[in-house]
Amino acid sequence: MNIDDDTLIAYLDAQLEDDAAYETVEDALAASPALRARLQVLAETGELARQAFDAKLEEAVPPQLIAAIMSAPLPGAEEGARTATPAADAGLARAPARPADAAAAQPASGRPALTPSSAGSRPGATRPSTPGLGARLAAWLGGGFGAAAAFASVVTLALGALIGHYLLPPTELAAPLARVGDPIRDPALAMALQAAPSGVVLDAGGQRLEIRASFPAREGGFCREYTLGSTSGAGGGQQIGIACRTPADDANWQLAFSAGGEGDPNGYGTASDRLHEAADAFLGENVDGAPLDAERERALITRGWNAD
Amino acid sequence: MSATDPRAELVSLLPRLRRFAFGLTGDAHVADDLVQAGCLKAIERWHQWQPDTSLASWMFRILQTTWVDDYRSRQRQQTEADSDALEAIAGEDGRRVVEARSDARMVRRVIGELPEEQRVVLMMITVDGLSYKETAAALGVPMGTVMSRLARARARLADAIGGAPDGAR
Repeated sequence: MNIDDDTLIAYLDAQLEDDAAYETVEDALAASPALRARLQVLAETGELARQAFDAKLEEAVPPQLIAAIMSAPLPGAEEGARTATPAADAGLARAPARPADAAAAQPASGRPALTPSSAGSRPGATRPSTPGLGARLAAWLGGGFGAAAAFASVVTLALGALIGHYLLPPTELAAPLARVGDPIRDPALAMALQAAPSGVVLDAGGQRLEIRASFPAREGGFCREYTLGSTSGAGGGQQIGIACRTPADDANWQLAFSAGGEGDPNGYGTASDRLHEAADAFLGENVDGAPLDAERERALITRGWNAD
Repeated sequence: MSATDPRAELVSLLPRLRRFAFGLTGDAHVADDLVQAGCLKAIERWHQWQPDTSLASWMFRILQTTWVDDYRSRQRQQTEADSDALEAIAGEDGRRVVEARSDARMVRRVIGELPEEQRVVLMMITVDGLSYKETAAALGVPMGTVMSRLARARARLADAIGGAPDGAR
C-alpha cells in the first residue's frame, strides 16, 4: 500500500474524505515502520511550525491598531470612506459635544444599518472531527515523541483548529451591567473603552454601544461616558454608563456610574432627560471640566490611557 | 454572539491576522502595517464578504493580495541589501539542524524561505488550522493544488528541521 505525503498530511490534519480513507491509512501505518516514522516527523514539524507563531497569537495587540480599525468609517457612513486609509484622518475628528437629550444620542441618519445580522455561530475554522483520531494517532506516535506529547499535539491539531486558537467573542454588549465599583468585564465593552475614539458606534448582539466622550477624572485617571441601547432604536432600555480608570499603568476600567436600562433601581426608566441629568451630575462632581479633544484622546488611546 | 459591526469582528480576529501577516512578511512591523491596511480594505468592501464563509480565510486572502500588490516590491528593495548577511547565516548548516528544534526563529526562517504560495498555505492550514476546503475557496484554487502546495511545504519543513538522522529514536 502506497501512502504519499499528501495523504499522510491530510490524515494528520483530519481532512480525509471518509472513514474508509482513515482505515486505509491506518492499515498502511500498521504494516510500515517507515511510514510511522514519516508520520511522526510530519506531526512533530507541524507542531514546531505552530509553536513558532504561538507568541504572536498571545501577544497583546497594539492599541493603535485597534484604534485605527475602530475609527475607520463604515462604507457609506460618510463621504470620504473610499479614501480612508490612514487612521489619522479616519474618524477621530468627530469628538462630539455631549448631546443634552436622547434624541441626539440615537444614531439617526448618518449611520448605516450595518450588515444584516448573520447567523450567530460562525466558527472561524471548522474541521470535520474524526472521532477518536487523537487516540488512534497517539498509538502510532510512540518513540521519542512520547505518547502523551503526541496526544497533546494531535489534540491541538484536531481541536485547536476546531475551536480556533483564539476566541474573543465580541460578547453581547448587553451583558448584565456590573455594579458600580466593579471592573468592566464584558470584553467588547472593555475593548471599546480602551481603544475606540469617542463618537464611534458599535453594534453587536442587537445592542448599540456608543462611546460618547472622555474626561480627565478629578482624582487622576480618566472617565469615559457611553450609552447602550438596542439597535432597533426602540427608545426603551437605554443605559448610560460612565467607566473610569485610575492613573495606575495596569488599571482596569471600572464602572463608576450607571443609570437606565431594564431593572434600573433608581427608576429613571426611559426618561432620557433624567438619565442625562443624572450622568451630568455625576460628571460635575467627578471629572475635571470639558471633554478631551480628539487629538488628546487619540494620544491617550495610543498609550493605553497611561499618562504621559 | 452575533456581532454585526465589521470593526468589532475584525478586532476580534486581530491576533490571528497578525500571526498570519507575520508569517507572510517575516517582519513584525510590516505585518502590523499590512494588517491595518487589510482591515481598512475589508471594511470598505464588507459587502463582498459572504457571511456563511470564514471571515478569517477571506481576510487572509485580502492580506495576501495587499501584500503582493502594495508591499512586497517595496520590501524587496529594502531587504536586497541584506541578502549577503542572510546567506552568511544560512551557511551554518551543521548547527542549524540541532538548534532549529528548539528555536522558533529558525523554524520561522525555514518557513520564510518557502515559496510564497507554499508559505501562505502552510500558515493557513498548519498554523491557523483552516480546512483544506476553506483554504482552496479563499485562494481560488482547486483543493488538489492546496494539498500539493501544503505537501511540498511540509516536506521542506520536515527536511530542514525534522532531524532525519535521529528520527528513529
